[in-house]
Amino acid sequence: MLLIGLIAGLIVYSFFRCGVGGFYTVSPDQRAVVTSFGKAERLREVASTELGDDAMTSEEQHRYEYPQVRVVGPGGPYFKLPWQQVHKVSVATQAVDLSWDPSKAQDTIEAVTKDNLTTGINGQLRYRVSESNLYPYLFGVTSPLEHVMGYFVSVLRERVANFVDPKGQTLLADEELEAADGESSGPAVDLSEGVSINDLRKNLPLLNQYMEEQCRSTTARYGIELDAALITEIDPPTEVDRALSAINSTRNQVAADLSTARADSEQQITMSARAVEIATNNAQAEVAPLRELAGTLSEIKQNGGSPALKAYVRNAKIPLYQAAHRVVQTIDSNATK
Amino acid sequence: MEWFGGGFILGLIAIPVFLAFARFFGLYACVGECQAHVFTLFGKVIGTIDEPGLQVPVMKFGPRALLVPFFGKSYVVSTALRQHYLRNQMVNSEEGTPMGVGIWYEMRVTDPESYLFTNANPDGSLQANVTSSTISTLSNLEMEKMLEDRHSLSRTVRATVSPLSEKWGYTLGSVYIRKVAFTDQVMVDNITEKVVKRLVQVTSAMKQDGENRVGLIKSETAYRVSQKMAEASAARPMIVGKALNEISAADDEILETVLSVMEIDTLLKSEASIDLLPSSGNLLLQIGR
Repeated sequence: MLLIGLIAGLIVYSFFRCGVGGFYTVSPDQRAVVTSFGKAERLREVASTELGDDAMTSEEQHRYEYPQVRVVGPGGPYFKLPWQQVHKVSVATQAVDLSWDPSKAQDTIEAVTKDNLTTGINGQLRYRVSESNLYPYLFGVTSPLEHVMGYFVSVLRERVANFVDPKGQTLLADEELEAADGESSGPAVDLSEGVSINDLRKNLPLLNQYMEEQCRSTTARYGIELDAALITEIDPPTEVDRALSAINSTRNQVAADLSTARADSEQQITMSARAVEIATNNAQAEVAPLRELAGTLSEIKQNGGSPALKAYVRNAKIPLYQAAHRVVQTIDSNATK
Repeated sequence: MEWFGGGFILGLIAIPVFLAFARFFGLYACVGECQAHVFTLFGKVIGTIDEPGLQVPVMKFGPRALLVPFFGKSYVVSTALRQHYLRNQMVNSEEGTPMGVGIWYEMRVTDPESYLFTNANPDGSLQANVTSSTISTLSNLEMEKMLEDRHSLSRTVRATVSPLSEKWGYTLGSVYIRKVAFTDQVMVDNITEKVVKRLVQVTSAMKQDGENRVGLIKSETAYRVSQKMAEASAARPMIVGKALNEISAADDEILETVLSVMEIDTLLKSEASIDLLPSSGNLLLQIGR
């Protein structure tokens, strides 16, 4: 009976340990890696080179070499043996605030700009665990997200400290101002020097793009792919903010003044051009009867010579006698005698 | 039945108990990924297993491995990549500006034996070394270089600290100067004021430039309008004069006749009071009075 009981106990233990406890499923947003006696099944000793590690130096690539392990996809039920352990991880895209720091509570991160201004930066980092490089996330790195944040913030702060507007001195050479007078003013005044906070605000998309490019290597480093780096707020001190607002207001005012001046100019030039046309037409109208009459008289002279012309003039004068109030007519004295 | 119950319970716990005994006596060890097991016996390290999976120490170290549970110890060391952030390390720039520097660095244990026994506090020692190296590397640098060239400075710090850390079983990973900040609030306020003044200057310059451009547009417009108005004024003399010249060039008499006819027509249209007089001037004067 003891032996039977022992065997029954072994069977029940094995049933629960291997049977009931051996099945597992992987949800759609999860991937799993199975370890046997603590070791993950390797597909190759070095992960794929297509993980953005081209952004790293060869020395860094060597430091962040991790094996590629077999990944269990969503589905199930799968079966594992008692000495196997399933490590599940969510590969859904997740978001974390840039100010997230497990060792410090803060609402924003500080960064010093090229003009030494201390400014607050905030935003969001969207990431997902890389399915193609799960080893570092699960085993190789103690706290992958902290590493990503540490790396990201370091790169960001250096970029902020170096940032200048790639388009150069654009404070006054804006397209709207260019269009206003139709010609470039040239870099007459180096106005953008010392106001890199303005450059940063104007070039946020560029900054985000740079950060995404720089952080491509996080997949190879920590097994985390950056989906997007969105720096949404650059908060300088209040007085700087007010001064920046004044710049923007002035820029708008200048653009409006230029636009009005250009419109007035066009109107006046158009009107003056019309005045020339009107004067020309009036003069042409005045000249037309002269030419016509001269042509007619030329024909009369051609046919009748000078006497004909004189006759024509005399004829033209006849209506004067009709309109005259008084006519003083001289008489021939010889005739009265 | 009692025997069956006893046997059943024995069967349930037999495997876990057997495995626990086997583990206790060091018959096997499950080494996880990024883990190392260091075995000591009689105060000496007999070996390290850092290969993940099922390991049998007796096969690696011989029968003496069986004595480890009684006269030695098995240490488990994580060899995964770790990180640490050293906040607010004070340095002075070449200009004497006090600055706070944050250093973020990664490290992993690559020699578990040295990590466990060479240094009683390897983490603290590494932090001290990184701090010391950071201060010595960054102090007396120009503030601008400190702010803008921090990645190359990070590499310098790493190169300095790495040889020391390796003695303690650590390999330093990436090192980054994560933060460079001004610690003196008065200085921060001064810089803010400077930037505000600069922005105000930019605003004024922008406004002045706008006024200049508007002035330029207006003056150019006045010039062009003036030209056009002069052109309009000159149109009549030019056209009429040209026509008269052409008529005169063809025949003087025709021109005289044309003008006489035009004068007569205009006189008739004017409805003025007309007195016709002979050509004698004296008589004309007398009548006019």
